[in-house]
Amino acid sequence: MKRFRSFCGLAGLAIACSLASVDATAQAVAQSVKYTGLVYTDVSLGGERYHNAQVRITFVGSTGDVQDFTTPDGSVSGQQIFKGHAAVSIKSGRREVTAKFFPNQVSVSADLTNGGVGFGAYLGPGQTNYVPAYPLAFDSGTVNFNLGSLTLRGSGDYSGHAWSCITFPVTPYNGGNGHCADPSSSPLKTDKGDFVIRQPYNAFNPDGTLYDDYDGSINIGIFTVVVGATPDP
Amino acid sequence: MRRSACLLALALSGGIHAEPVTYTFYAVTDGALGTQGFSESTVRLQFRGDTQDLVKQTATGVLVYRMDRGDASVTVTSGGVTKTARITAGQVYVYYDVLNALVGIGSYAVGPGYPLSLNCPAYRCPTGTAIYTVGALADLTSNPGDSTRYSHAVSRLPATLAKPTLLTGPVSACAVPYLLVNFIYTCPYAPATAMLQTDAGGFYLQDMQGFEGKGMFVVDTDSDGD
Repeated sequence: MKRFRSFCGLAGLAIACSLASVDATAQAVAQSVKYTGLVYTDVSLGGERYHNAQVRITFVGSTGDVQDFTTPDGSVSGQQIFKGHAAVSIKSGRREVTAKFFPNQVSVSADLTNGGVGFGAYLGPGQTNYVPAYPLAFDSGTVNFNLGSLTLRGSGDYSGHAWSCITFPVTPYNGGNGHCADPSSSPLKTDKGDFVIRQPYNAFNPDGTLYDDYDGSINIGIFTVVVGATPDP
Repeated sequence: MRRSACLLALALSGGIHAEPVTYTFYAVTDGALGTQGFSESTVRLQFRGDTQDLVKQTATGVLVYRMDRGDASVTVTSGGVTKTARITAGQVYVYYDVLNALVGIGSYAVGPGYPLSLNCPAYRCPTGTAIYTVGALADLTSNPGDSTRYSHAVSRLPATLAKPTLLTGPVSACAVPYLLVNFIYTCPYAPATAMLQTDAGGFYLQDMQGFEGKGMFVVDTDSDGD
């Protein structure tokens, strides 16, 4: 059974995206690809709040733009794709809305060393601060169980703990402070206004810090890769 | 055991306001629908009913919610291709055993854990802080003092099938007991009794991921005001 509790999950991606050596040569025939993250959680869009809404974040790109990376110290490797179009759909009761993220904010990445996959973002002034587990990332579950075959270049469905945490990883061992920062001060920009996603369902240690980088979030979600997907209009 | 013969029904929908309710279960698992087998695909089981048909039962102090009347469907999405089928009536029901952290779509042929359930027995969910909401609500029901282990949002989730809620946990999708083989729990086979009938042919699930699959069970009502 593959579980990597002693590692930092998606932590390596934050390092990787700023320091990594990137290998873009491992490309077969490029095909369209659609990544979808499904979770039920609390979000706000354009000032509207939604509780326990069905949230789907999508990213449509080309497998030809998926890059391999390895951190300079060789400790973490994975895949990432920055070129594509990202959107979010929210369904809550009778309310349904879809918004397109403004370009160059949301990406998709996979930490194939520690186990983690999902949608990261550039936040902060000048959008220079890359966060790998916000707006939505997944670890543990079949993400880790299938780590040997997980790829952003091939179709697959994975379930795992759902994270929407700007300050991931959270464990002090991995450089965190035990908590996820309030995301409301770092909204993502969409054509329907500011988008904020929260992580309301958490488990704590006796000292009040999040349980760990895998099971601290006790919400679950599904991440899907579909190669050959028809691009959204 | 068929229907609720093993339970002592002590209350029938007492105090539950009648309104349409939808139970939606998402998982990534394995099985077949009609002639098409699928592996590690997204499965959505949905059951639509009315809260007036919800039965609250207790047996030896264990509270169980159950709904037998409703329309059930299954949707399988694999590689971007989606197939939906209606499950023939009279085969499945919705079941929630709060204290034992078991919730899902059960079947008369097999029991409350099959075809699909979130199931948190001790060997998968050790005592202590629960790492899924279905386990956390079981913990909080029996030990309210454990509320410091969880965020306030967890404590506010209703532990019932009558109100909107969000239950997460490890997925069980096996018609027979899992076997421990080489340190991995495996679903050994899908017996003939596990085959459910749908308008697209037979349907069964057989988890091949050794309990590693996680899922979410969502309760929605018409009064869900967000």
